[in-house]
Amino acid sequence: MVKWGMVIDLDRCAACQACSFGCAQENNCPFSLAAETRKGILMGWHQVLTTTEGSYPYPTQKFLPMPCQHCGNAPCVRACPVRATYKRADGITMQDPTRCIGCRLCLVACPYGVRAFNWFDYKKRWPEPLDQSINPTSMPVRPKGVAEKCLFNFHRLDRLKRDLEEGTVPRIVARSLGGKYTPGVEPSDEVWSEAVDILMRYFYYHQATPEDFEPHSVGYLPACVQNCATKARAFGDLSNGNSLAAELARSPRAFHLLEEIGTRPAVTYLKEG
Amino acid sequence: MKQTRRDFMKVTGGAVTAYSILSLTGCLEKSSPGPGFDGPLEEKYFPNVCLQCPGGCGILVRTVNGRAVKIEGNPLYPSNQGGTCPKGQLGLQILYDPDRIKGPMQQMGERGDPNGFRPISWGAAIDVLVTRLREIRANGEPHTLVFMGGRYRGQMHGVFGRFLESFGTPNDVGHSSICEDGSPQAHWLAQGWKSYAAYDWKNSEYVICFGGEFIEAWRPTASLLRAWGQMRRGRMGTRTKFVQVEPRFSVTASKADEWLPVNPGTDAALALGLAHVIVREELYDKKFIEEHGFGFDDWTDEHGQAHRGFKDFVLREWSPEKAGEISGIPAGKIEKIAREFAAKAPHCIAAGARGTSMQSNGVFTRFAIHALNGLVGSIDSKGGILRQNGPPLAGWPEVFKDDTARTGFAQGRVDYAGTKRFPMAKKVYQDIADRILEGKPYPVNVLLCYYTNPLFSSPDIGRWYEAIKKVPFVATFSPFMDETSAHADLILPDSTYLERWTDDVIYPSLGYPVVGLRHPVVKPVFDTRNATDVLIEVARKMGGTVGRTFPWKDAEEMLKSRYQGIFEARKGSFVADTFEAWWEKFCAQGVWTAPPYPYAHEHPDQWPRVLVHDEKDKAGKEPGKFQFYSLHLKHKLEHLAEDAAEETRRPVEAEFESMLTDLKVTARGDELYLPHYEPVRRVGDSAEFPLVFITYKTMALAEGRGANAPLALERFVVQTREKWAASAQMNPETAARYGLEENDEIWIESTLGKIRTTLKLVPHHPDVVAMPFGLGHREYGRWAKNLGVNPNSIIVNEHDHLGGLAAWFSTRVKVYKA
Amino acid sequence: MHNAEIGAVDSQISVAPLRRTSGAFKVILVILGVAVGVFLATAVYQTVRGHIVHGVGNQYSWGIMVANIVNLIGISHVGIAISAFVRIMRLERYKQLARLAELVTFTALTAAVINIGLDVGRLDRFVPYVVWFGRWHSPFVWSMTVITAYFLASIVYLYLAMRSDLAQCATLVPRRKRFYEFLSLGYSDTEGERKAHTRTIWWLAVLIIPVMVSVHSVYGLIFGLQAGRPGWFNPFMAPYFVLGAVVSGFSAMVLVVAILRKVFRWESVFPPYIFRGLGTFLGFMTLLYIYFMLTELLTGQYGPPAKDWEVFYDILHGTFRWYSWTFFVGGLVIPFFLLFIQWVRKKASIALTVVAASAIFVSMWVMRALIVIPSFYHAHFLYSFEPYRPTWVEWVLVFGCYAVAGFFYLILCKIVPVLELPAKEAASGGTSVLPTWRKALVVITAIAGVGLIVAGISLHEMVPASLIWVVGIVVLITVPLQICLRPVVKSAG
Repeated sequence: MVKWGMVIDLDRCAACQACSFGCAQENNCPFSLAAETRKGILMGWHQVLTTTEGSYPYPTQKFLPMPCQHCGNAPCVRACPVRATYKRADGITMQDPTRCIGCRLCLVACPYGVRAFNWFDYKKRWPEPLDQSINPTSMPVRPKGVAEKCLFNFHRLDRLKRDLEEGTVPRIVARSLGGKYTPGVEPSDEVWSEAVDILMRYFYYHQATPEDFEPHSVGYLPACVQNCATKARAFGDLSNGNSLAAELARSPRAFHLLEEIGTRPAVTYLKEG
Repeated sequence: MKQTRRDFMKVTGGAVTAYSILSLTGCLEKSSPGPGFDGPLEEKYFPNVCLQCPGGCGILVRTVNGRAVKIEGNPLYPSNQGGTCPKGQLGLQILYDPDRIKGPMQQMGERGDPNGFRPISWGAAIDVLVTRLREIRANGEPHTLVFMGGRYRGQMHGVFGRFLESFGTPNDVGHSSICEDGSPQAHWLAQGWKSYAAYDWKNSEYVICFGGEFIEAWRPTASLLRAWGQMRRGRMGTRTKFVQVEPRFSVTASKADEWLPVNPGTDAALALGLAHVIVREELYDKKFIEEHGFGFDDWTDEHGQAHRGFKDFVLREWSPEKAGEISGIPAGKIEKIAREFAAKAPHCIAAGARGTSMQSNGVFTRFAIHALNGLVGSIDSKGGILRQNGPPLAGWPEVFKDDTARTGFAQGRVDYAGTKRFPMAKKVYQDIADRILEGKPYPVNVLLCYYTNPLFSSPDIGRWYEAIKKVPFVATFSPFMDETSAHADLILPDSTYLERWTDDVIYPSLGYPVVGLRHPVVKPVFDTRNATDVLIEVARKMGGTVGRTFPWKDAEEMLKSRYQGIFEARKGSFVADTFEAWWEKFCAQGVWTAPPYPYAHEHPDQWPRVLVHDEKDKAGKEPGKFQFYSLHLKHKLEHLAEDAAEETRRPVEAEFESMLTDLKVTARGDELYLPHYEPVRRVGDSAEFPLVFITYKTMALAEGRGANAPLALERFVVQTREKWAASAQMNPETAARYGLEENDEIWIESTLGKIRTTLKLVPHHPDVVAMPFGLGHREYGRWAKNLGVNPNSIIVNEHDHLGGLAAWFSTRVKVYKA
Repeated sequence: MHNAEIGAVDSQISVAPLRRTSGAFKVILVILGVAVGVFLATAVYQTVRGHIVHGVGNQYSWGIMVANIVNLIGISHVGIAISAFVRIMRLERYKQLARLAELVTFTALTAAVINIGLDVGRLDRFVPYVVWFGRWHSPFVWSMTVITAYFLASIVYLYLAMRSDLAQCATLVPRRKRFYEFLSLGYSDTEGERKAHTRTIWWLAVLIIPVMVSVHSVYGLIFGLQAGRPGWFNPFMAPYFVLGAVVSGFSAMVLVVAILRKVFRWESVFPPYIFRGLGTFLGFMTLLYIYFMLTELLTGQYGPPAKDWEVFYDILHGTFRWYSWTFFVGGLVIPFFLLFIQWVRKKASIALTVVAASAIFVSMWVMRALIVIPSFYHAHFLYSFEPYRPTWVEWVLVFGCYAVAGFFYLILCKIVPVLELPAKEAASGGTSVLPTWRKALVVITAIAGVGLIVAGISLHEMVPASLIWVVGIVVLITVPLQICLRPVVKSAG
C-alpha cells in the first residue's frame, strides 16, 4: 500500500518561495489582491511562514514552508459533513470541489491553516490573455463557495501511473525498474512507488545528461519538489523503507508539526544546522 | 377532508424531494475532482533560458495546445540543475501580462502624454527611427546617439555594439555601474581582468559573504540556491560554514551560521582586521604568495625606490582592535573568524557583492575583501574563487566604418568613463542625466533604451524626469510600458524571452563555459518583434557601411554564424558531424556545456589566464601576479596624470594630486595601491539625518522589471510576510528611540526629499533604515502602477569616482511619523 | 392574587388576536416586514457576489454569523423546555406560557436554519448533500440529525397540544371556519381523542427533553471537538452550551411575553408574578452560567498548551478585554443581582425583569462571539492578516434573522390561538377508537422507524446512510400523529 509523503530539509531551504509560486502556477491557484490579503485570504496551496525571535545583535528568524501535511489522522476529514474531503488509498487528503457545501468546518478544523476557500467566482481573476496560462492538465479553477487545498499533485502521480501502463514513461524509469515493469498492464503499487522514487533520486542527486534525459520526466513529481532549486524537498512512498523520502524521514533531525495533537502528518521536516 | 390532507402532504413532500434531487443529480455524475485530462490535449516541452534576471538559468516550458502553462527548471542546465527561483516560475505572468505593449507605438502628443501614443506599423516605426538616425549622421554628429542597455544577454550586446560602432558613437552605456561594477574592478586591481568572478561554492568549506544577498538577490540566483543546498547538506560530513557580513538582518543573514552586523560601509576595515590576524598568526598560504603574489612583502622598483608591502601595512595599521572599533565587530570575533577561515584554506571564499562594492569606497573595499582570497591562496583553487571561461564562439565579421563613423567613434564618451574623472570606469550610467542636463561634453540628440529603465532604477530619479525632456528623440525597445517608455517618442516593443531567438552565455558562476538557447516557445502574444531582428532591419535600412556590418537576415542566422565556432571546437556536452545536426541537438537540449573547470592549482598552464600580466607592469614577471600592491592601478593613474600634464603643461605631480583630490581618495603614497580602508562618504548632516538608508532586492522581483506579476506582489517580502507592499524596516530599539511602532505610517526624508511608507520592525543594525527596491512604479501595468513608493527618488547620486560606481548606500535620512 | 382563574382565561381574550388586528400590531408588522425585505435583498446580494462580501477570510473563516447561529439555536431551546416542564411538573400557573414558548422554538429554529444556509458557501447543495452524503463522525451531521428530530418533534408536539383549540376556533372565529376545520384535521373532541392527546403529549414532552439537550450539546461539540483550535478543545463545551441555551432562551422568553402582553393587552393573562417567576429562574441559570464561565476562563489562565493560554489571556486582558468585561459584568453579573434582589424582596417588577433579561440576552450573544472569534487570532500557525472586521452584510444578516423570526412569530399569532382556550366541560358525544389495523400500523411504523435509524447508523460508512437514519426519524415522528388522528363515529342523538 503506497503512502505518499514529503520531507522538507529546513537546512537546505533558502526561503525563496519558489515552491509557493510553482504550486500556484501548476494548480491554478488564483492570486489575491491587497484588500483580500488583509483579510488573510491567500489562495495559494503553499505558503512560507516566518517567525522572528530575539533581538539585535543576536536575533533568529525561522522560515517554514507549509504544504498540506496530509495527516494520517486528518481533522479536516473528520469535520467534513459531506465527505468532500477524504483520504485516498495512497494517503493523499483529497478535496472534491463538486461535493463541498462550503461550511468551512475544514478550514476551522485544520491546525495548520493550509486550506483555502473560494470566496467568489475566481474564474474572473485571470484577465485576457493571462488566462492563457491556466493549466488544463491539473485541477480546473474551483467554483465559488467551496474549499480547496494542496493535493500533493495527485494528477501528476496518477499521470505517472497511466504512463507506466501505456509504456510512455521516461527511459530512466523503465530501465531502472527493469524486470519488475511490463508496459501494457496496470502497474502495481510497488512499481508505482518505485517509479516515483527513481525520478526523485534522479533529480535529487544527479546532473541530468543528454543521453538519459527526456523533458517530460519533469512532469511527474509534485511541482514544489520539482522546482526546488536547493533540493530541500524529497517526495516518495513512506511505506517503502528504501525510498529517498523514507530514508530522509528517518534522519535524527526529523520532526513533525504539532505531533502532540496526534494528526500524524505525512510531511516531515528536518531541523536546521 | 382526508383528501385535502393528502394533497397537503403531497405538495410539501414533492417540493422537498424535487429540490433534493435537483441538486443531488448535480454532483452524483461528477463527484470526483476531474483532473481535467478530458479532451485532446497536446503537450510539448520546450527548452529555453529564463530572463527574469541576468542569471540565465535553463528552463523547460510546458505547452498544452500551443499555450505555455508551466515552467520547470531544465535538469540539463548545470547552473540551476532543474530548479528555478520564484521569478523563474513567474515567466508566464510576464508572457501573458495583459498590460504589455501590444505593438509599435509613436508619441503624437506632448512627450509623456499617456493618451498621446498611437499604434503604428512596424515598417513605419522603423522608418521613423531610421530617418532620425540618418539626420544626426548627416549633421556629422553620430556620437550624439546614446544607447543605454540593460538586460542584453548572449550575442545581443555584441550586436548592439557593432551597430553603435559602425554608426559612429562610443556611447554604449551598459547599466552595471548602478549594479555591481565594483567587484570586476577589484578583480582587475588584483588579477588584471575586469569581470565578475566565478566561485566554486559547491566545494568550498568556509564562506565569508560581504554584503551579498546570497539567497535573495545575488546572481545567478537559482545557481546560488542550488549551491546553498549543496553547501549545507550536499556533501557527506562537510557543512560549509557561512558567515554573512552586512548591516541588514536579511534572509541570508538569518539563514547563515553567523551574522556580523558591520557598521555600514566599513567592510574594508573588517577585512583588513581579518587579514591582520591571518598574517600575524602566519596562517596565510606562503607557497601561493611566494609563487604568485606581488607586493605582499616590501619591494623596490626599478628606480631603486622602496615600496611598502601589504604584510607590513596590515600588521602595523590594522590590529583587530582598530578594525573592530571602525566596523563595530568585536576584536575577539574577528580573530575567531580569521582563524576559522584560514583553517579551511584554500577551500574558502571571501566574497563580496553590491552591498560592499556600491559604496563611495567600493573599489578599495572589494580590493581589501578580495585580498583575503589572495592571502589564503583560494585563487583558482578547488572550492575557491575562479575566472569564468567563455565558450569558443566564432569571431564576429568585420565592423565597417565610414569617415563619419570613424570621427564620431573617436569622440570621448559622453559619460567621461575612463577619463581622469572616472579612471577605472567602463561606463557611468547614473550620470547620463547630468550630462544631458548640462549638455556637456556634448548634447545628446538621440537616446535609445533597451530593457533598461533609467527613470525608475537610477539614483535621484528626479534628475531624469528633467533630463529626458531635453533629449530631442527617445526610443525604447521595452516590452512593458515602463517609466522611460512612457516618456519616449517611439516604442519598438521587444518580444519576451519565451517568444524570440536569443542565446545566453552563462553569467559567471561555474567557471567552465555554458551557453543556452532561447527560441520561440509560443508565437508572439502581441505584435512584438525580437529587438535584434529590428536592429538588423534598421541597420540594413540605413544601408552603407552600417548595413554591411550586418550580413545576417535575422537573429537566428546571426546566432548560427556565431555558434559555428562551438560546433567546430568539437568538444563539450555534445558534438555532431554536421553543423545542422549540432544545431538541432542544441535546440532540443537548450544548453551546451564544457566541464570540467581547469583549476590553475592543478593546471599551472592556466595561471596566465587567471593572473593576467599587465604589459605596463615592469616589475611583474611572466606570468602575472596576484597583486596585493596594484601595479595595474598605479600605471593607470600615472598615465592619466601624464596625459593631463601634457594638456595643461603643469607638473605631473600637481596633476596627480589634483586628480586624487577630485577622485576624493584620501590615501596617498603606497597605501593608495594597497587594499585599504577609505572612510565612507555620505550625503546629509549626521546630526540632522542620523540614519543610513539602504535598499535591497527581494527574491520575488529582480529590480523593477516584471513588476506587473501579481503572484510576485502577493508574496513580495517573505521576511515581514508583506503582501502587495514593501515597507521600510528598522531596528525595534531605534524605532522606539524615535517613538515609532510597527505599522506606523512614516516619512523617510533625505536631502533630496521625502517618501511616505509604513514601518516594519526587523532587528537590523541600529543605524540603518532598509527598504526593498522594486515597487513604486508610476507606469508598468494595472498591478504595479502606483503600488508602494520608489526609494530611488530620495537616494542621492554619490559616486565611487575611481570606479564610476553609483554609491547606493551613501544617503543619510531621518524618519518620523506621518 | 386571583389564582382562581389561572389557566382558565376567558376564551374571548385568547381568540381576540384572531378576530381583530390592533394598530400597534400593524405598525410592528410593517417595520418587521421592511427589515425582512432588507434581509432578503442582502441575502441575494451575498449569493451573487459570494462570501467575499463578508469580513471573514481563510485564517478566520467563521465570524459573527456562526456566533449568531449558536445564539438562535440556544433561544429555540426554551419553548420545549418550558412547555415540557409545565406539562410534566403540572405548573398550572405557567400554563399560558407553554404555547408562546413553543412558537418561539419554532420560529427561532427556522431562523437558525436560514442563518446556517446563508453562512455556507453553497446554499444550493447545503441540505440535500448533508442528508445524502452525511459523514457519521462529523459533528455537523449530528447537528443536522438532532435538529431535524427536534424540529419535527416540536412541530408535532405543538400541533397536538393545539389541536383541540384549533377545533374550537372553528366555532369561535366563524369567518375562518373552513380554515380551522382543515387545520384541526377532523378533531371532534371525543373522550377517546382527549385521552389519546393528553397521554401522547405527555410522553412526547418526556422524550423531547433529551433531544433538546442533545441539540445544544452537539453545538458545543462542533467547537469542543476541534483539537486543532486553541481555546475550543475541551470536554466542558457540551454542558456549557446547553446552559447557555437555557439562559439566552429564557431571557428571550421574558422579552417575547412582555412584548405580546403589550401588543395584545394581555395584562390579565400575564400578571407580574409570571415575570418574577421567569426572572428568578433566569437569574439562577445566569448565576450558574457565570460559574461555568469562570471555571473555563480560570482553567484557560493556567492552560498549557501555550496557544490556549494566549486565547484566554486575549479575552481577559488583551484584544477582547473591553467586550468581555463590559458584557460579563453589565450583562451577566449585574442582571443576576437585580433578579436576585427581586426574588428575595418578594416583589415583582416587570420593567426590572425586562431590563435584566434584555441585558442578558445581548451579552449572551457577545459571549458566543467571544467563544468563536478569539481562537482564530491564536491559530497554531499564524499567517499574516489584519483583525476581523464584520462587514455590513454580516450585520444585516445577523439582525435580519431576528426580524424574520419576529415577523414569522407575529404571523403565527394571527393564525393559531397562542393562548390555550378553556377546555369545554363535557366531551362531545361519539366514540373514537383506533381500529386494530391502525394499531398494528403504529407498532410497525415505530419498529420501522427505529429499524431505519439503527440501519443507518450501522451502515455509517455507506452513502446515503445519513438519509436512512433521517428517514427513520421522520417515520418515527409520525407515530404520535397516527395515534391521535383517529376516525370518529358520531353517536346517534
